Amino acid sequence: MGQEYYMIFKIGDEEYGVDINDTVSIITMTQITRVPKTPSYIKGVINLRGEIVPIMNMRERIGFPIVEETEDTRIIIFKVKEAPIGGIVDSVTEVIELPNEHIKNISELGTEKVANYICGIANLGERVITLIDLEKLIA
Amino acid sequence: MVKTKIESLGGVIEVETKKDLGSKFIIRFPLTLAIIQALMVELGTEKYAIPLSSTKEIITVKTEDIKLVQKKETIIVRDQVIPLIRLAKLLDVPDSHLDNNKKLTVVIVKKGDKLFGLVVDNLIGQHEIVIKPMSKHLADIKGFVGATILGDGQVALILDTNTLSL
Repeated sequence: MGQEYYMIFKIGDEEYGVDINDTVSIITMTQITRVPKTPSYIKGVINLRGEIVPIMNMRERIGFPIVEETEDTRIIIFKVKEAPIGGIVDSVTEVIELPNEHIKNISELGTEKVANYICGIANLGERVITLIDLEKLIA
Repeated sequence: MVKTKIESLGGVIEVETKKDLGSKFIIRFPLTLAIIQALMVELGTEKYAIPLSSTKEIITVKTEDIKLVQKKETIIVRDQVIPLIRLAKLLDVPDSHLDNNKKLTVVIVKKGDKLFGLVVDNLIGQHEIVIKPMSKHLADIKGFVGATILGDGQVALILDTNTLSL
């Protein structure tokens, strides 16, 4: 069984993970230029070392209420389809190694269908980490 | 030497030579590297760039000179009727306080061969800017040629008057 590294971040009390190979960097909050006529979860674009990178609010994208930013708020820069895009998260926790056997595929939670961008749930003792498929989240 | 330099920037160089007539050197660069002249304007707290190539003139208009044609605001400039567009409203800019102004700053732009008057809050001035492409993830957003990075590191969007839904 193989294993992969995941970057873990928090939204509210929930922990989410993305494949470390899809992430580029983590930055602190910066000035965001609003782009008109975009979905509301797209907060705008930033200047990331000379490159124009769109930023989405992960809370809004996943359906959480919006909160004020704190000093833990971070922007994770992902690479999706070869182009960078940033996601605002409440905090970034760590990078962990997840053996494949800990990851379960789920399509239903009780009777409710889970969102299609969730590609698995990892169970680590007390912790439950929801793994996100970025391509589906951003498509 | 010239060729490698141009290719490193993503451009091409072509040479056409006609006997006894001389040579023509054509250098092409991708738009993403182009430096353009732009008029920087302010809407609320936001800044936008309008390419100078698509602006015709800048005028101030008194609110009482605005005429309504089929409920659309228009102005008359040298016997020509020009539709007036409140840019802040078109771009959903929050906190633009234009409405209480007696005088409006209007940038007259070309869209194809038609003219439109864009109402802006403030003019910042003419700048040379580098066009940076908008992200692939925002490819379906119409109305912008790209973005540029201002001297203070801020990002400003560059309006594309040809695709802006006026």
